[in-house]
Amino acid sequence: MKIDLNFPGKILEAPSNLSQLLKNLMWVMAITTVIAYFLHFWVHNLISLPNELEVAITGAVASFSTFTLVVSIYKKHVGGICDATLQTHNPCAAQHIFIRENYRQTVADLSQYNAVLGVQLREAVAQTETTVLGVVGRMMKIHEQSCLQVDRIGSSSEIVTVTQEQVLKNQNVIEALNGFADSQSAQLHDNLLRIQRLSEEIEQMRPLVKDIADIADRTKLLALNATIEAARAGDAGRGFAVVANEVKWLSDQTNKSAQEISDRITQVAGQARIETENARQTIADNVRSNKVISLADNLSSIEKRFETASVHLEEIICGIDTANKIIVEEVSVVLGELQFQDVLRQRIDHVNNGLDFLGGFSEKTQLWLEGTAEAQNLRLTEHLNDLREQYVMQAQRVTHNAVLGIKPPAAGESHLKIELF
Amino acid sequence: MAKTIMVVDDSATMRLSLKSALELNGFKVQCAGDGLQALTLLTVGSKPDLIITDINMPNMGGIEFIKNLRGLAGFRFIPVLALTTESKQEKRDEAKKYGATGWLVKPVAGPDLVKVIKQVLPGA
Repeated sequence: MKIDLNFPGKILEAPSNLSQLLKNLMWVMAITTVIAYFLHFWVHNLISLPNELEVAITGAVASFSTFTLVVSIYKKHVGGICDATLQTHNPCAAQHIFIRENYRQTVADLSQYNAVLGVQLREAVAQTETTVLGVVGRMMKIHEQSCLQVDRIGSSSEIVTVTQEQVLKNQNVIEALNGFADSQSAQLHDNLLRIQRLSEEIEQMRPLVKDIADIADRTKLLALNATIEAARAGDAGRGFAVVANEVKWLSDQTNKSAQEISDRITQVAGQARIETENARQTIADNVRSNKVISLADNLSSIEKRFETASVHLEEIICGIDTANKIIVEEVSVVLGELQFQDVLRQRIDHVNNGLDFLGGFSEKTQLWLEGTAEAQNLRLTEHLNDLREQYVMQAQRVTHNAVLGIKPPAAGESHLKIELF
Repeated sequence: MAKTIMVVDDSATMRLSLKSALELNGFKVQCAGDGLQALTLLTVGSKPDLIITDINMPNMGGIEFIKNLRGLAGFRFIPVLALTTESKQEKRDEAKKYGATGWLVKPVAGPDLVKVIKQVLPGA
């Protein structure tokens, strides 16, 4: 059912009809009075009646004619007005009931509508809170993993450092071993040469022994000849024979000594040969030990490659450490930005408070429309001012002023985000 | 030795995000849901090096908390930073009057917060 916007117009027409009716009634009264006056004279001249009866008849006729005229005029005007008024009033009353009922229903619906919106907003806030808490948890897990990686890499770094120290020690040991092996080898060569020279010198003594033996043999032969010659000389040669015997004894002794020297030389020469052979064997063994030196060289080469790799690894560790610092800073920034949820929550809580008030206001209005409560003294615009007073954020006040076209106050708010007192 | 910071805020999001951001930067963190809870913790022996508090909280707001804190023995000179959405100058003045060390408006990025903490907490 639609509201007929012409109703006020129709209602306003009624007073003009009533005024016409009053005018007509005044005319009827005036004419009836004149007619009654003339009727009184006419009846008086026509027949002679007692005075009281004449007045009664004239009054009755006048009253009847007046009544007839009034009834006819009433029927024509007042009846029409009443009908028109009823025709206007009935739909008007129906519309009034309809408007009130519709408004009551709208207000009742508004409470539910507000309640739904409020709960939706509260749930949305709770959802953002849950999500943000989840995000913070996940970010901290990322950071934990990042820290674990750094710790692991740190352990690797320690291992690399220890290994590098060990490598350095190994290098020193290998160098010492190499030096020792070199000196040993040189010493062995020197010893061999000395033994060889000694052996040769001993061998060179052998002809000298032979010479001594020859001299002894010749001396013995000379002593024999001297003995023969002494025997020939007789007594004169007796003393000479003694000397000859002594010479022969000396010769024998010399031969004997020469033989002993020869034997000793043979023995020493044999010993020298054995020593030379041993020295050669030792040198040969030493040459074999050069393989160990070669192995050490290989080890050293491996160590050098490892050293290069460890330098590279250290660079990687430094890179990861720097990246981790960046992660920490970025996570820190994001954690700060997540504070938006608290800002949002406070703004929505404020909106919810407004919706709650609107819900209560609607319920009271509904009761008033149902006739069970008094009308409310407060207007919504007044509560809008209260709402403005309850804002805590500059952004809330800016939005409020912008919507209502209010010029913001010059002072009263600080724009400093960080202030140390 | 790591410095200890107490975070007082009724928002679970704020408590967790601040705790995480501060721990990332090497601080130890204690949390309280409002001024009353914070005062209880402090009276039973908690001794932080710095307090960060919200202003608008249920049970006991930040300004009342600072006022009560300054009356407690041993907490007269502890630095207190207000971290809030509140922007009214009169509230700032009130906090300053009762002994707040600084005023920060949410949201504040982690590095900025750490910078301020290092300013008010030498050696942090």
